[in-house]
Amino acid sequence: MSAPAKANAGNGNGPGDTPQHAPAAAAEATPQAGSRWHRELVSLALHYGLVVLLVVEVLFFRLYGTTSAVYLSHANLVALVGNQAVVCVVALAALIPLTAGYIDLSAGAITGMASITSVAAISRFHLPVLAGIALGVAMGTLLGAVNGVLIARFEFSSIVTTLGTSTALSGVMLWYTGGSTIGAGLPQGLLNFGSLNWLGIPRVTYVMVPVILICWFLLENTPFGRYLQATASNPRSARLVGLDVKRNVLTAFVFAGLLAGVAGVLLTARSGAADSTTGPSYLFPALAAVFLGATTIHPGRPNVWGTVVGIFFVAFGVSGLSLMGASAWAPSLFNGLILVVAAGLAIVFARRRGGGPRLF
Amino acid sequence: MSHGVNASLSMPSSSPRSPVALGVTEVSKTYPGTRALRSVSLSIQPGELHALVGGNGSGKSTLVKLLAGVEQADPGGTITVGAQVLDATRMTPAAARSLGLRFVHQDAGVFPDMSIAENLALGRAYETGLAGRVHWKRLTARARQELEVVGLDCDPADLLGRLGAARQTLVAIARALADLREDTETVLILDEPTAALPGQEARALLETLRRLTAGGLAVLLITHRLEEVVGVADQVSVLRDGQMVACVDGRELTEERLVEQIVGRPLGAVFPEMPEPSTDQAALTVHNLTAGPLRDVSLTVRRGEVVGVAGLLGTGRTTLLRAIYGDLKPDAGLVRAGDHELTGPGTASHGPPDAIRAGIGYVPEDRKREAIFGDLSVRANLLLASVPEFWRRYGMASRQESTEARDLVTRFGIKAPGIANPISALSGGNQQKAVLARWLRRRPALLLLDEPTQGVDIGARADIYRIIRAAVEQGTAVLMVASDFDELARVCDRVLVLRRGRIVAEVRPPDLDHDHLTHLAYQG
Repeated sequence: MSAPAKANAGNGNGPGDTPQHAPAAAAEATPQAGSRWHRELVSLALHYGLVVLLVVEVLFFRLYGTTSAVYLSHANLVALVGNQAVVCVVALAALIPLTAGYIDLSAGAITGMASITSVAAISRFHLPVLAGIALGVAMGTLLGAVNGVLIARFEFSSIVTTLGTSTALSGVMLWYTGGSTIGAGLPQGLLNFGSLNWLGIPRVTYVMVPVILICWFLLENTPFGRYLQATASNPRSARLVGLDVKRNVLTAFVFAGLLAGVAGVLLTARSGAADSTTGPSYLFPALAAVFLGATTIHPGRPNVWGTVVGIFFVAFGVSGLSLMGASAWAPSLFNGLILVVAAGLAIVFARRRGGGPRLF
Repeated sequence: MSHGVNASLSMPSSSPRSPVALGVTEVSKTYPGTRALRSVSLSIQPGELHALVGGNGSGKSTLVKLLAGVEQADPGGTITVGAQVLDATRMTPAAARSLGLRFVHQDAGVFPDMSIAENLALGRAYETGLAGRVHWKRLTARARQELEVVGLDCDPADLLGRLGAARQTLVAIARALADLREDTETVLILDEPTAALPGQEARALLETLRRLTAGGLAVLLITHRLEEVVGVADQVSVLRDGQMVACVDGRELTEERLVEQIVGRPLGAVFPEMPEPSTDQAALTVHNLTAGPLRDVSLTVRRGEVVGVAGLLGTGRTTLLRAIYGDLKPDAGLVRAGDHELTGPGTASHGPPDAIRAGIGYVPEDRKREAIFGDLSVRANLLLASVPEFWRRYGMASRQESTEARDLVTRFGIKAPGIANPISALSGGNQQKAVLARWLRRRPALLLLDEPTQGVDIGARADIYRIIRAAVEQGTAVLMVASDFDELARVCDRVLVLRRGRIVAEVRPPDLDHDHLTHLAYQG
């Protein structure tokens, strides 16, 4: 067992050691200088890849023969943007708890409940429109608080709890509506808000844009947003740096409920009625947008602008496909494939950042 | 076990008369931006316990990954196992396995909720009977044989979680050695198996390794702990900055010389002299604290004083710090930090936010799970205890945050590619410096440190002690738990010895040394 091959041996700082350092250091400097440019480019592509794809997509349909005429017309844009208001607000509602690492599968059902509440208040109980709106938003907030208490205080699993509340709420909605559409006698003002424009822009946009800005401010520019990100990253560390994790998570679910309430009211205005299935049907497109958004702007973590880009990436794609005359099944296929690709990419990016497997 | 006849692949250019169990020849690895390994060579003979030491980021883990085939080396190097030579670029996990390389990784990859027998079976396949049913009897019998190899005497049906950490590692070793074949060379490669073990248990593990090498097995042991290398390993290789700087005979080695090889500077610089406490003002008073294993613990830490807590695992060392910090509700007792009454008669129990308000900072033992936010940036990690400070009416003052973070990185000597990079990209020592910086920027009155240098290489350890000393000079009081009694003796003004939940002794210089502390901690 004596004298094994000591190829690089010498006892440490032997005389042979010093000259070895210099060429090695020089060799290291060159690839770094060369790859810096490359790395900047890669980082730019990672951050804005989806934005570039969105532009490419729009240009394609703008230039493609059968769609070019109508695609960027005012009428098509108005329809496209107006149609995204509800799903965008639902997506932002789901985004807030997801920022803290908690998935909310009940955002769609809460939207539906808020919509039904506002319609019932106005058309069945003949309350003023503003009271109906307030009750819808309040219903959303209340349901969000229920989720929050169960998940933050009693530490129930978020995926199971929100799946449960979502299913239960679907039952409640079906019971209340009897499976039919309710909403006869909604005032024209509310319906106009859902379908007409101000200054050539759909009126619902005047709710959607402030909601986006508020969410952006809340999640990216306040201590609360920082705390949610820290909680998603490591709840135990978050507690030990003095964060009140439970209260922050509870607050996140209450905010999510509030936004779902707003989405519910927008839905009422947009569709002029309410039923038990429309609200819940927004969950999957909304989550798809959130996950798609997690691949861009701040790759690896769900974020507000990414979500907005995700919403419009899907919307412009689906609009183009239907203008091309694609059948009714095409949008679903497009949506589903995008979601799978997005979820895969989001995981890749999260791993790059050294994060563990998150919820997606 | 060695043979040298079954040379199906090409023979190495060196002479085959001294058979190597594992040879690494001029292997390099480049990651984008860094050269992790530069032309590293290494050779281990059958029956040899070969230790590989080096600071964090020296390339130890990279070498293990290349051997395991998890990552591929740059072209040019070769890996030899027994008589078989493989181009280092062509190593894959399957190739590593068929060549006879067996790995036990840092986290051991064991499942505490499953039985010992199942943990062993997961390495190969469950023995099955009719219709694919698990054949439990055969499984258990085989498990027993495999446990015998590592000298473990326990019931294979027991849950693995009921074994101590050291014995869990032994199970992982047994699993790695399970499908040994007599006709190939086998090399067992252990990546920091003792990092999480208390000294005593680590020694028992090393004895087992010695017995295995006596049977002809070659072992490559990657470790941070120098005391287990000195006098135990046959050969010691030292990596520094991706280069093999020394390969020394273990018997000729002293710990001091080893440290000098790893750090590239003499040992004297590692443990600084701590200044004498400047005043008699109490920064922390604990009176009759009872929590978990702790019984009626009373202690005082003065401003500018470093007080150590010595004790074996399970005596309540960590409980003490957590109860002071408010992470754990004490059953009874009083905790006062400066003028803040945190827990006591008339006050409700407190939480970490109250402790932080009272000027306390806490550096927990388990850095990865309890201190850092792995996927968040270095900047976020540095400033998460101070977020409200950067809140303006119009939003977060991100430019100030970046300036402050950059300043902290320089001030505390944190080696990071950039403040926006995730902290998980940093080495353990630099992560720990960041955790310290997070608290020290708040100028804490009291710092609670739980194993502040665990899993930290010797160079960063020196930096960490320099950082702590600078804070102490500013008046910060320190209450520190460490398993390494030598470290406690060198760093602390006085050390309290915890045994079975009670403080049984207070040791001050000149009695303050490793042997005396060990004696007090174990006696009774």
